[in-house]
Amino acid sequence: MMRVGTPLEVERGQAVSIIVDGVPLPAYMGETIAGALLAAGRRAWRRTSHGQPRGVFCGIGLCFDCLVTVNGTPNVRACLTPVAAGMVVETGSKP
Amino acid sequence: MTEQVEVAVVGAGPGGLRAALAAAEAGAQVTLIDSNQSPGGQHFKQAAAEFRVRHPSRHQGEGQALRQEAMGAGVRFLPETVVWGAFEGNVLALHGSQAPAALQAQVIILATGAYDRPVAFPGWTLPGVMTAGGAQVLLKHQRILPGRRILLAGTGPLQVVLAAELVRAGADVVAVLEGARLFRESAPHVGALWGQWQRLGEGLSSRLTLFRRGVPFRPGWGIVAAHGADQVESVTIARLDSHWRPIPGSEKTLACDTLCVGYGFIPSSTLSRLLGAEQEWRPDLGGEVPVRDRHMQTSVPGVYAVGDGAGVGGGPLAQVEGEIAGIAAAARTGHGADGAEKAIRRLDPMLARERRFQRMYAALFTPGPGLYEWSRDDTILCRCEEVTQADVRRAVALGADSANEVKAITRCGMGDCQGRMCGQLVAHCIARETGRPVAEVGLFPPRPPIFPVPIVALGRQTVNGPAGGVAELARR
Amino acid sequence: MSNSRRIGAEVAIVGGGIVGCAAAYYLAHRGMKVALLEKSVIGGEASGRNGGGVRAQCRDRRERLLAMASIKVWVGLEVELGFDVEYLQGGNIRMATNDERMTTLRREAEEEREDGLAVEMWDRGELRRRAPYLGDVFLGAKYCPTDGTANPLLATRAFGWAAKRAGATILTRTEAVNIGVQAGQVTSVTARDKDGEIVVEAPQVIHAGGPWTPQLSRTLGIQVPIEPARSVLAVTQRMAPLFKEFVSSHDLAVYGRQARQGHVHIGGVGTPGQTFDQSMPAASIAHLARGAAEMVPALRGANFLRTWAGTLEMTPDKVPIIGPVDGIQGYLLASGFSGHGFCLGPIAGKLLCELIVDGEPSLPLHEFRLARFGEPAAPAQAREGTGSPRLRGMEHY
Repeated sequence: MMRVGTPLEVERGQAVSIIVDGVPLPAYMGETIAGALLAAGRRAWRRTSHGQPRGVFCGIGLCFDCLVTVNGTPNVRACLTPVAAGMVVETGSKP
Repeated sequence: MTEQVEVAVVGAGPGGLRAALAAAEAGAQVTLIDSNQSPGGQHFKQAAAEFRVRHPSRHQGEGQALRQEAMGAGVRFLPETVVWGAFEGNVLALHGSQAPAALQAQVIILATGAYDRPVAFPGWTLPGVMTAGGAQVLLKHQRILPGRRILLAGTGPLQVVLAAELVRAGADVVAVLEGARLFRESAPHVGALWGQWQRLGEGLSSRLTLFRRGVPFRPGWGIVAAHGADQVESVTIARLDSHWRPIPGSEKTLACDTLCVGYGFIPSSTLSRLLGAEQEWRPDLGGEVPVRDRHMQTSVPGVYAVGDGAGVGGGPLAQVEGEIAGIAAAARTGHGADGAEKAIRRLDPMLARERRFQRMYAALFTPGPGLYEWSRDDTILCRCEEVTQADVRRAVALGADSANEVKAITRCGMGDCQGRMCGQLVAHCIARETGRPVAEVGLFPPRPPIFPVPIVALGRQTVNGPAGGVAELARR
Repeated sequence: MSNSRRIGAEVAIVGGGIVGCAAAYYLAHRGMKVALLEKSVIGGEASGRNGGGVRAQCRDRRERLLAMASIKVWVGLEVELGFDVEYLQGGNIRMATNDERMTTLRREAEEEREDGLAVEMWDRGELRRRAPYLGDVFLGAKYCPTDGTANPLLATRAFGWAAKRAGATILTRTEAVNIGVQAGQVTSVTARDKDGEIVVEAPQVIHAGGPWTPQLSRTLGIQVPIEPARSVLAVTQRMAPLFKEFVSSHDLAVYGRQARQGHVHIGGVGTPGQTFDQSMPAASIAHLARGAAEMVPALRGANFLRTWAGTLEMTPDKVPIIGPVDGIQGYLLASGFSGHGFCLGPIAGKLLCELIVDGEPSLPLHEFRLARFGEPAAPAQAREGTGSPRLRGMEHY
């Protein structure tokens, strides 16, 4: 699995559910949206204005490739944003 | 509101933490600012705060201890705060729910760190191609694997350590490609390894892990192209000549779903540039860095710069530089001036040792010029605006002779990343096309805000202007 | 100077902004030998830093006809220059937050219609309907459908490239320091670049030097009443298409447009006082942010990505100075565009060309003469000029 570590090695935060494009996605408190998406097997969740798929590139919030819309706010960096229970995430094309 | 502080430290990685601690111990009032929730930067990246880790790594333990010391010394920490601009009079403009609109500091210490060098080659924008640093954050902070079948390509021991960590975490690591052809070049530098026992230990143990798991380590190999429809499916690699150009005929293709690219780091020097600090072009230190004196002060009085953000050199060097700057900064604000020079002198041996290591690292692991020729004309150079190498060349043909001119014509550097990803790629392309040295071509000039900042936040804040009056304009 | 390089030309142009480059283009196209001198890069100053508005409404009457003619040129520019300058005839809305402003706008509308410019007055309801993205603070507006926008970074450069293709010599990073005169006739322009001195020998000079015009014109003994002022701009990240008009509010002191890629540009006058300073004051960023949020409420969810400043060239009546100067043959001023140079650049260039080649411009330029300020332009011995004031801050965008 993509999540690393036995329960003996690491105890993750509380299990929560976020909604991604209308579908519930399991995650753990402390994970970033990017982490949760990657753990669910999604590598790409944005399309550039030329229709090219993008996901995580720099992983530290500098490249702005991993953008998602969170609770209605666009241009949010998934790699920096921690999940919250019931968070509504929309992926897809950038305007 | 603009708050007056004595010492403002930007960046809470090893350099910033050490600087803050040293200044606070000398008696100065210190505010430490970082964009993350917790201090540590990338070097001391902790697991997510909500996780409980039974055996934190040695690094993570060291980071926690340093952070506790700094807080214990009375350093005020402003987390989740971005410094988006710098204005006349050492005024730093901030954006963060816990931060004032601005800080006017007697002394500023910049410890802004560095970020993975973006390298352009066909297919580098495919999902699954990420920086080694990005993969490391996922593993350290999130305990998540970036992929299942992972190829690492880069230079330097950090990716060997990462590869071993990935292997231990259960990933299938296909190979580790090292750009430098090591053995011939290493011999004169062996002396620099003296005293670097932890690094040596880590490096050797990582190599051993890879060896035991049968993960090939290939010195003198690099990337030709990444292939795939919507994500990486395979990568073509090739032997590199001494200039780091792929040797035709040596290509091999490896199947993988993740490519971690680790070719060194670029210092985050934007803030020092915005403050007006004189810069120099140092490819051995990662790119453009501020000129500093032996107290780590830049050409702007009262502005210091330490750590990777002033020249890539690793965590321990950042700490020594941070301590020196912290002592000097405190002295400048009238605290501990008497013992300052002596305290700084005491750090000379450690500084010398870390600088030796920095020089060795630079000598062995600075990528050759061929790295910038891995891109082809249809390769994207500016990821944000999807500008290709051909577009840049066309702009140069129209007369663009600087990064700024290319930006005006092609939109390179106008995207959300504000030129951080493409800056050096574009500069090298222009240099090649015009035959001028990269240093002369220059990078995109920094413009505030240096990170995107919400309009509502910018509209609310009042930053005191240089004349001291409240800068808020009344609506006419 | 022993090392002087000499260039012969029929027309020397000082200034590589849109006015200078347009003039170079039209002149070269008519077969004239042109040499243009620009102290930094083509389009590097106000021509490349402005808000991108191309309008004829809300003008001083003298400028109105010029602007209307310029817009006709803008419409055909992409074809003429062979380059897409992102010109969009998306309309211009001038909003009002109070009744006094509405009254002013209505009076202006009457005048504009008399001059043949079609405009519409919108009450609150009509404004809501036609521009629902604008904030509630506005109670009405004047709308001009033939106004529009273009890309400032591309337009001047496109003129420059076309001028070069047509045979003009364009020298960048070359600063004019002196204009030579003999017996009341212009003879040359002396300039300096990194290799030393260059002398362009020409009987005609077009001086389109922006706010740097006065210090060079002093070498001719001419006082030109132009003062610098700082204008400021900010741009957001890409946004979904929201509006195509150029919108502005005198009362909020901001204006804006959404560029082709979706970024919203917000601009304002940064410092009404006299300054060449091009650094971005914190107060201006706050002002643009507040103005943006009030003018277009959807921007409350947006971020600013970048800001920059530029230097305007203001005349006492905010109307440009175009045309010859009494007592000096061959010297044409084309400066003081007071924030309106981007729109007027193409027509100004065309008229200057006509003045030189045909002896007469197709539109009267009498209203724009320097002499209207009542200052005698006494020719004097050529004096050594000074370099431009050091600009703080770097190239802008």
